[in-house]
Amino acid sequence: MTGRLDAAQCDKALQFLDAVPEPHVIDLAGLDYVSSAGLGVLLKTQKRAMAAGRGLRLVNVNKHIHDIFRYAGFDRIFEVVRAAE
Amino acid sequence: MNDASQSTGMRAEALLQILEVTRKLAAPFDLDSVLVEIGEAARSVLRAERATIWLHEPESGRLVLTGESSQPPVRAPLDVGILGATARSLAIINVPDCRADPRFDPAVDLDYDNDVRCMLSVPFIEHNSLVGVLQVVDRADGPFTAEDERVAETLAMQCAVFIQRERMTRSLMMAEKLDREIKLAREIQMSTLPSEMPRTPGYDMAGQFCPADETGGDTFDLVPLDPHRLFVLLGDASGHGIGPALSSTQMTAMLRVALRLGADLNAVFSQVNNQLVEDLPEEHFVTAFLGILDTSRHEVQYHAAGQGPLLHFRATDEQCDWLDPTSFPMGFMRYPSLEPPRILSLAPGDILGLISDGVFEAEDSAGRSFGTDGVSEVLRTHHHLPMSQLLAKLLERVHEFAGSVPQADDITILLIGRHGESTGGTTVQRYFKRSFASLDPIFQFIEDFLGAKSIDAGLREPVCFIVEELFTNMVKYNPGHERDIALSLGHADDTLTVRLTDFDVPPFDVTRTPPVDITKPLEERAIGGLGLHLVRQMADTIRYEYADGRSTITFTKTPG
Repeated sequence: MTGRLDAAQCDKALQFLDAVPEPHVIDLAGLDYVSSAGLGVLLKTQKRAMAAGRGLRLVNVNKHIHDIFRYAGFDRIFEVVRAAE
Repeated sequence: MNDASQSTGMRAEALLQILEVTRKLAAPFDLDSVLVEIGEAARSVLRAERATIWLHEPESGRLVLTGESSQPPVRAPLDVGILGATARSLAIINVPDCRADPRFDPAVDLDYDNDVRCMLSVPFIEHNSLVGVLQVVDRADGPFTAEDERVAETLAMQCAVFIQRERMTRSLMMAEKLDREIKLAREIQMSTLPSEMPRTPGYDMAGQFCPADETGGDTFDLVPLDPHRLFVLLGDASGHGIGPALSSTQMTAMLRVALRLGADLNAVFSQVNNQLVEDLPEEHFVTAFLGILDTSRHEVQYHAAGQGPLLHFRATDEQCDWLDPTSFPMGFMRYPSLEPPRILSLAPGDILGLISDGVFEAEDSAGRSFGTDGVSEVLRTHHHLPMSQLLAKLLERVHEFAGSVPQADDITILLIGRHGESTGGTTVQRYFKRSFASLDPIFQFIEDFLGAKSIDAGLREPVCFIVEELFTNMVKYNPGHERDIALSLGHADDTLTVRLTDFDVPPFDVTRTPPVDITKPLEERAIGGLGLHLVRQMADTIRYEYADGRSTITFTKTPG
């Protein structure tokens, strides 16, 4: 996933993710920005993944997005791997 | 002494008496008692039955009889009787037998009992003009002599000087008295005007009073009530001169007492009004703004009795709102019922202006008025200045506008400005359409600003996150709305201040949405509600304000 996951992009993102039958690892290396709408998308996808048996692993998360994940408590819900500095 | 009396042919005794009168005259006196002294001295010195003094009244050109208490005083023209003859000739007239003298007129020459025999009629002359006439009648043993004439002239010369001096002094004193009264009234009035603005954190105030003449009727007052509340008054009494000045002073004094005693605004307002109704003369009234500024709530609650228009400068869109008075003037009649005070909210950078008529009604030589437009223009251009400088600019502009036309009415200006979020530093503002499609331009706007100000790039994402969240909320919750949303970015002292303003919307306090429990397990996590929670986490400070249908969210972010 690359670019910006903002409100304008969320519908597209969700469509894309919904199309993946068993999402597992999402590489966020190219993701510069996520908004709360974007978080909603990830959360929805995680719920679906967990229901299917295995949660998502979010990798190459940059500092800013990692902060947001922390504030949102996503580090408890997802497996989050920071990008190498 | 004997030599002197011999050379002038005067009796020593007469001289002494004249000297005695002179001595008395030299002491401070009032004219009426002086005239009594002169008359008595003349009668005694000349051994006459009666002495009468007339004073010349320049305004009417007549002689006025003194020593009588009749009202109106008796006046005689200058063309009748021995009296008139003396006045016109400015020479002493010695009449041995009044009946035989054709000039004699019993009415004017005061022969009530028809028994006047002889008369000496002496003019008081000073600098070749008539001051008055002394008439003595009926010397004890025969007609008045030549010596009597000289005595009378000498006495008259002394008296003339004193009478004239006394009249001049009296008119000077009256002018001085009036002058002093005016100065005193002005001193009282100026001493009740605040000499400096009270220190009020978060606010900047300036006030100035420019009377049109000696004593203007305008007044303003600022009374701290407690650490967060300040009473503000602007009053404007009708007319000019001492009368209104005292009305204003009286009102100020009453208000201060009432407020210090803890009365609330409505009670104070109606009680003071009722007092003024009783005390003020019929044609007097006072227009007044009475308000209480609460510096923690950033609100002014007020009554504007015939006072207006009131200025509310809005910093968000740099527009001037002009507010009407809330009731008719004070001192006119008792208020039949009293509404609660109006409330005005002040956002950061806003200015409340209390401006008297003298500003709006200032005219130029073509008869155009400065008006609210004139004021609005000054505010839009100079609102960012400290209030004292803004006030100076406003006065400067009014004087420039009026040109040679003199100031007709008192000018009183009181400006109360709430500190802007970024004092010193720059702020830019843009309007964006209510649509998600605005997000890209918004992000660009933010990026450009941060770049231009060389602000830590690490601020970009958090700020974009917060702005996106707030902006999309506004779009989502008021979708049918036409008005654009304002976004302003400011930078000062290393702090970035961002403000979003939504117009004509119902209130929604984003700082008070329920917090989200981020420790809950996945199944219990809701999709929504996260955004505002995160916004509150990520912003250093965040504040919500709502006034006049306008929602304003302001947040700050500092690097590090």
